[in-house]
Amino acid sequence: MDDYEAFYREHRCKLFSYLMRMTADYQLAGDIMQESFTRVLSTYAPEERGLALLFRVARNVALDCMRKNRIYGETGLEQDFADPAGGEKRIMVREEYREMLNGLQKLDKEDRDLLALVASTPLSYDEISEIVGIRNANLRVRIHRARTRLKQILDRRE
Amino acid sequence: MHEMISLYIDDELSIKEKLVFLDRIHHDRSYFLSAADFVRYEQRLQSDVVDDLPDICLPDVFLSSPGKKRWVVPLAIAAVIVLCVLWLSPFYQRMEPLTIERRFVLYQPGAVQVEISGTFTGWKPVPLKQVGTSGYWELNLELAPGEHRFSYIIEGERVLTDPTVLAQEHDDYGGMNSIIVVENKA
Repeated sequence: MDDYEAFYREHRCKLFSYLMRMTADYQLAGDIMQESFTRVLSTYAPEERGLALLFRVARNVALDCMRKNRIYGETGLEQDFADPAGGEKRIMVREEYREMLNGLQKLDKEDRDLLALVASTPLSYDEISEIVGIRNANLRVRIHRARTRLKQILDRRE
Repeated sequence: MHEMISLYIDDELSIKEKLVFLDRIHHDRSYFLSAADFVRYEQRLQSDVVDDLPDICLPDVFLSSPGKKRWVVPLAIAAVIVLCVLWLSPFYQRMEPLTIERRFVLYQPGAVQVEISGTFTGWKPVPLKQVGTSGYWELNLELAPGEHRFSYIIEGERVLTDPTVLAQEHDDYGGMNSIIVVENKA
């Protein structure tokens, strides 16, 4: 397996998870994932590529989409419910994930971005701080506030 | 203090903070219950239940295939031989210079530090020199012919494109770069 494919296979799950949490849109998350990998692989040498760079690029693409008012909301997961092959436990887990996605969409996009980054990647606060442009001392407070807000949103729904 | 719960979840506690955190959850039951609650929610947030990722099409050049590589090594060897011949040939040595001098000038009166960063500096900031008390800053650099991207950095923080260059583009960091084309004029 060459460098490109190895890079793609190593990081695609984390990136797609981040983009689903940001957009709650299966199709859009896939489009942004394709754009992000294409940009990183075509613009940067292997020694420059890394998780932080990939997420920085993907975040910029996702935020650009939001600025252009792309339509969000379709999780694209409904078709899975039509296939009960996984059994009851699998359906319950998916429903819980959809509630979490809906809760994330109710946060403002900065809070959603922070939680999506910490939940989807092994990036440190220092690395996230460089990506989002918030100092570490402020970042730790912002992340906890975002978690608190999300918890309040989910508590209200239950 | 409550943000220590998030630091605990994200493995960002220092050793000293770990001791404080452990002491707090040991002695404060409500704090312990709150921390446990946040961890449960985090477990839900981190659960991934998309079984199938969408198929994406990377351009063919990114995909490996044993058949495509058969021609690469002979072509690389041929390219090296051609480059060596050209490098040693008298004809090549009479050819145009490899670099062209380019003067960069920016008017920033009141600034104490002006730097330039671009493809020709490996994106490392290089300081410009002040031109007396005129408010102008300048730097002469040797650039290879071709397209280059760059921007100015004021006081180590503010990034400016070149006001004299029309061509610009967004970079991957939310900023803008100027684009210039250096041509041989000999």
